[in-house]
Amino acid sequence: MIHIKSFNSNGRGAYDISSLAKDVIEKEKVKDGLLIISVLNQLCALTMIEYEVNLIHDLGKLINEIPSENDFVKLSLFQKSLVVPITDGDLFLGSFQQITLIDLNKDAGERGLAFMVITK
Amino acid sequence: MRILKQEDFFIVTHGPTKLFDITDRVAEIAKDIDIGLINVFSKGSTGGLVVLPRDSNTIENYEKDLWKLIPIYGWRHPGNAYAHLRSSLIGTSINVIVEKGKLLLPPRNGIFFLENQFTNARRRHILVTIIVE
Repeated sequence: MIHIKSFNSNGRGAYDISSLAKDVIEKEKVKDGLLIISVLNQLCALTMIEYEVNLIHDLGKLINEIPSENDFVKLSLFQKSLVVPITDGDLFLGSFQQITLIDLNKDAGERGLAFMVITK
Repeated sequence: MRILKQEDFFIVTHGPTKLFDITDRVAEIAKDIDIGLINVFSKGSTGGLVVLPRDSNTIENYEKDLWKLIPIYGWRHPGNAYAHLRSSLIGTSINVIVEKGKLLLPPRNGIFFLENQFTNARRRHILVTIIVE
């Protein structure tokens, strides 16, 4: 059960991709399980954070202030894949916990994401 | 590859920058597994899960030195940006291999929940998922 999806990014920034993950578990009709998400773009990473405008600004500031000009160094502090449990047909996440794509590409474009579901 | 079971539990924390050893709770859930993988996940966007040595000096030093990772002040998000940013970097999910009922961790190491919030008696929800062949 692998789904390849693309996300239309506006370029460098952070984007809430939780709805893409929810689409996958709804399509698969998963009640309980695990969702593995991998990003397929070399200048992207994944994290979980409250997707709130000020905090996303702060995340950008944190990334910009990592003491390296090399974007691959900055991204290597984050993950290329995440594991998120599924319970009762929904992601086991807090109210303020969103799955977030970190994009360090300058240009807008499609970013690939792979989703895999493990069930009972 | 399939999910054998999911079990959750709650811990009561205080903070900020306090570690809570959840190894025994997780090991109890995994004790009957011959070969498998467990995912430990804490719900919420200000906590963290880390694997560390189970000795008091390491824990005290970690709690003290973590303050240097991300400044408390200087952020736009009101109040607890540092806690969110720590959580985002450290992560709230850990995978551990299980063999003959034992968690394959470094010797004398354990799994700790990291409370980043200024809080007292806060309930934190942790879910353990077991994957087997």
